[in-house]
Amino acid sequence: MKRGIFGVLLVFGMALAQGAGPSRGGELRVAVLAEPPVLDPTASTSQEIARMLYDNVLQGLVKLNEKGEIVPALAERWQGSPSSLTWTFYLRKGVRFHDGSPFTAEDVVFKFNRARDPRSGHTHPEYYQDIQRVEAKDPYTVVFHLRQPNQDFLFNLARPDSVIGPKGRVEEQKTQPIGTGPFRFVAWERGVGVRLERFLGYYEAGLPYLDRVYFRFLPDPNAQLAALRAGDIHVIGLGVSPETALVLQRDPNFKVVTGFTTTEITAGMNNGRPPFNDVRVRRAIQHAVDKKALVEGVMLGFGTPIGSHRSPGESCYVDLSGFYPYDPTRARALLQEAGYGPGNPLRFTFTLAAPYPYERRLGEAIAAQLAQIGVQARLEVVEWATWLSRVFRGADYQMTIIGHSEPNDIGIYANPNYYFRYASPRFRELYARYLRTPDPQRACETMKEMQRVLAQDAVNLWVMNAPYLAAMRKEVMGWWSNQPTPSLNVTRVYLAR
Amino acid sequence: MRKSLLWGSLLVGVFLLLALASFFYPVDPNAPDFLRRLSPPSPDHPLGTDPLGRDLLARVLHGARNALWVGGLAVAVGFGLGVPLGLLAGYGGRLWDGALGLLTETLYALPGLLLALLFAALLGPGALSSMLAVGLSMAPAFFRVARAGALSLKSAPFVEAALALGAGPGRILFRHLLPNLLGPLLVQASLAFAAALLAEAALSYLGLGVQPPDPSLGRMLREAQSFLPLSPWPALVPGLALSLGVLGFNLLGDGLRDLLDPRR
Amino acid sequence: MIPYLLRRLLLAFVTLWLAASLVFAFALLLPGDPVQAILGLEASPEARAALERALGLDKPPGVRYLDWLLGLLRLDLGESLRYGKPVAELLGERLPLSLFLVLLGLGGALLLALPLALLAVRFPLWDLALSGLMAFLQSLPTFFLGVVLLYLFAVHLPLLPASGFPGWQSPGEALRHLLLPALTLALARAAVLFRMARGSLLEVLSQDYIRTARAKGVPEAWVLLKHALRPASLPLVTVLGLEGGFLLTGAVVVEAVFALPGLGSLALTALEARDYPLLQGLVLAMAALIVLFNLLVDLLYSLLDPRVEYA
Repeated sequence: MKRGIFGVLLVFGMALAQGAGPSRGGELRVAVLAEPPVLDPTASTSQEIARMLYDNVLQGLVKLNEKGEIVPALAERWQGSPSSLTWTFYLRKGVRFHDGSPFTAEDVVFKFNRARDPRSGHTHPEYYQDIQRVEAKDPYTVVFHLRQPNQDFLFNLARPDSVIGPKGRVEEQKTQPIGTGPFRFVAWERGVGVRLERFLGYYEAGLPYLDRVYFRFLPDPNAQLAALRAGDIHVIGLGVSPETALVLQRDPNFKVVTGFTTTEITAGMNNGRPPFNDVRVRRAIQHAVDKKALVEGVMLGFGTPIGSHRSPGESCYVDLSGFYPYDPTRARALLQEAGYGPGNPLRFTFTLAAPYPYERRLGEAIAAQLAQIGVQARLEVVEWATWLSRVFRGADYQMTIIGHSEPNDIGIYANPNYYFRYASPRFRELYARYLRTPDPQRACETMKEMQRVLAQDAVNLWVMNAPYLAAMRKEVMGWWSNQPTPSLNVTRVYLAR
Repeated sequence: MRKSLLWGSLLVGVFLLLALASFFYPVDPNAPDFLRRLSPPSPDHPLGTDPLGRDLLARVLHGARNALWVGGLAVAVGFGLGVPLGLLAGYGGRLWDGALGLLTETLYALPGLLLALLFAALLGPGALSSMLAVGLSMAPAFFRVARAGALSLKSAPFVEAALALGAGPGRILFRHLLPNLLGPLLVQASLAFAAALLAEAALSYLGLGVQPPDPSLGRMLREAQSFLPLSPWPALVPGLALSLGVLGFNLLGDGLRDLLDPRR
Repeated sequence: MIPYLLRRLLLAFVTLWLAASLVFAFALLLPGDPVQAILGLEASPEARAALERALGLDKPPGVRYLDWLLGLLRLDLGESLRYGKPVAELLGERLPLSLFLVLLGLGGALLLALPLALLAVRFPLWDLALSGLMAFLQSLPTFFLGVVLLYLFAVHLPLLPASGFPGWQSPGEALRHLLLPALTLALARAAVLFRMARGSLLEVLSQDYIRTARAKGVPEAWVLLKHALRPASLPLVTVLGLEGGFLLTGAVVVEAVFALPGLGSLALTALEARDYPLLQGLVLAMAALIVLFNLLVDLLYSLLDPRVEYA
């Protein structure tokens, strides 16, 4: 109850401080790049679902805020036992789903029993595999019993996969999602967009500010820009091209929001296959690519070079972007050691996925930089479905480039079957230690060590942390400037008058 | 209208020269220079540079060369498939005509772009797969021209004479009928060539067509579009070159048709 | 006439069956699978197996082909893997837009080409300029033309919406959203009709009866409109048939530029998602449209030209 009063005071205080304060009402139209296959983040890992619905419509016990901190959502507070094996969540009272039914501990139990069952079709059951039992102590108290400590437990509960819908409702959620967020799902117009409407029964007083939100699928960047300029849409939610950002920054009617994402643009190398099963070749590649020039030249200065598989906005980040300085001479020497030279140049196929413009452009530029030390990368563009089956599932490739946008995803390197085919017992041991360490401080040290190990092994060429680039009309206020998790968060967005 | 022929030959000639010049212009079309991206024309880069700092002149010359190969491939597929079948359908009698007609109708009913998408998914996107598809969807047009020609010439005196001298059907089709149909087929080929250039541009819009880093005029235009407010050159140069090629081959085709038309 | 029609229809059905079967065979060869496309990058093997069973993808191809053919006989196109909806329903949602767009584009092209051709024939001074302009427009890629028009009429002169489609509930708004895309198609294709019309007008004008009319002192404008236009537009009809098919595929790009939910964007999605039933349904629908269009054109031709007979 105290929190509620405090919240009201806070909103009131903010209103006083800003004079007029956020204005209410109106429809916000937002362009998104692609249409997802379903609208349930627990049925598909398509990031587009989370972008539109996370926190806006669907919420979990906890959530990530704009800065990437874990904050209360449906749980008011929570407590871990000293052993980190028992976690107790105290649920917010009086919360209702959009269909009017009350939210209780039963819904939480149903959700996580489904999530930890690999046969249920729930996404990422591995996030939940350490949950032994979920127990409803009373309608507003839920206790999780873990098999072993899991450092990422709370973070996993903040992921889009952990959103909670009404108990027993699974199939319908795919097309008619019901949640507890400030907006309620209205319609999915196939091929056109998704409509949301303000949920009158939302539990946070005064929120949301907007009456309606319309996410429109606009795949063509030129069409997006034209729609923004013509006033058809208010916001290009993500993926604004750097050149467009430059142009819009100069225009007083628009503003460009830039911040961090958790997308590591990664030139993946097949560690299980020649030529990249040789660490000297992988290291030569690192020395041969000038990441600063790529950020400046290809991304017009947007983006941050990185040196391992973690983004600067994430916790326990170490800056390893200088681990392999740009040094063509060094690169040549390493290649020579590995048996490549002018007489026998390093040749390989560089597979690019068609639908991703940043990555395609970067791939072209990387191939050109490699050509300067005599490495011949043959570019091959494949369609997305082909990329998924050949590269991602079959690991039938030599080098590729793609953005890994899931937050906190360094654990993929502990899986030797992942498409990098990186098999390192040392890394696996570190990852296990990280997960099983209850003390956050010490876990953090392990996390940093993991990043260093990846850099030493030069598993992949981590090119840059992709910038978050959104463009909008001047009057759009309260838009997230970072993407700690994929979310076009409109919970506190308003249109200034 | 002899003007079409004149202008068409002129433009096609210029386009061919562009393609030919790519062999003599020593600059690498794929070498980026990030520090000098989007620069206007200068002595170093006579037509300026593109968003990655690549020399636009070199890219447009190689783009023209690729266009010739792309258009040529599509026309070759369409011609190679459509013409023999068309001759056979026209000359071979009802059974052949019916069966081949059905085949052509089916091919014609398949939307060309979908065909290109399927080929790209199957063979990987690229000039080869997309132009196979474009050529295939052009085959019905060649088929019709060849069939109509063969039908009308079937009982011409020179064919009868060849028959009387004991010429086999293959000889009749390719030694006697084909040379007499080259005119209208050339018209068709020229128009198909122009259409293939545009089809490649459309396909490159969808990410098919000639693949990077090799320059294609259509893809250069497409990729430069979003840079238009920053620099017009990267869009203007390939756009003009593409128009030049399409216009040239269209005019050439029309001019040839007028030339061959006995009514005028 | 009736037997001819029946034969044409039978032929059309065989054509469609061949086309659809070809696509079915093609789909079997494609790399990639629909399950991954639905579940996303990080799907677990268990989830994949479950969905595969649910979608019936574990059955052998021969069985799936027969199932599909039997379904066709019952006018059932199957269910989309990606959307989980009947294919027929999805086609029904998207088809009207594409059809309308093509007809609008074709009508626009005609509306542009005929008057301009008349003008070119009437005033030889304008002829070169008009012919040049038309040929130039035809030489531009549609996506480029589309974006230029977009900036012209939606951004600088904000007369028309830039993209998207509001649905058919308000026909006026729907039309407004289709005007720019249709104009793009019309401008790109008007050249063919223009050249055709110009050529046949010139040809008709050299006929004896026109000379007679002129000699009788009929005003030149009247000669053109009354005596030359109708016979000269006859060859246009055949071109219309070819153009209809062309526009249908050309519309794919225009739909992408203007973010219109038509058959084109559905086809792109279907292929990307490896949604085979939807893909086959789409090919069938588009092929049917092309075949139907040609049939209509042939009939129209016979109505306009009494000399045509049907054997």
